[in-house]
Amino acid sequence: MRMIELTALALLGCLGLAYLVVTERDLLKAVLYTGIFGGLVIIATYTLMAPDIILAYVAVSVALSTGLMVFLVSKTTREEVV
Amino acid sequence: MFENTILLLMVLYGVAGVIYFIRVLLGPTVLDSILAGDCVSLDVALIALLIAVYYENNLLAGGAFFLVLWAFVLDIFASKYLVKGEVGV
Repeated sequence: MRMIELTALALLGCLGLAYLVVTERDLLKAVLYTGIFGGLVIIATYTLMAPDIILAYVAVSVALSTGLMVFLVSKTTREEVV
Repeated sequence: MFENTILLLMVLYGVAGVIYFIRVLLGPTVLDSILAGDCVSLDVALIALLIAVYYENNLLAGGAFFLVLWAFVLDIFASKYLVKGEVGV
């Protein structure tokens, strides 16, 4: 069994999370959704048997990118003003 | 039998992840959302370890440890932002 269903579920969850990131007004929660997005991509990459990509992707997606975005939010306002 | 047990555990951890994600969406404050997001990341690491056991491949298990280690960085940055109002790097 190749667990292609789990890959499809994870990528479908990524699609929903991308919609949530775009429409969220609280920017700190949007950054949190970005971290969970990274987690779902990690599940999809695991089922496709690529462990060497994960070692770099975890550090960049879950930690460095979200930390940098929190730093960016701290320099601006937290609520998105339209 | 062994593979069916691992698949059942993956389904159970997936249901737990969905419940955590509902808490992320409905959290009254952003602190509840951050805590639930941390739980989601640990849940993802457990599912990754179960995938490694299912495929009987020890190379797959290394990424899960990195996920567990790096998931706390978001909490540290978010808590520094919520306490001080800025993230001093």
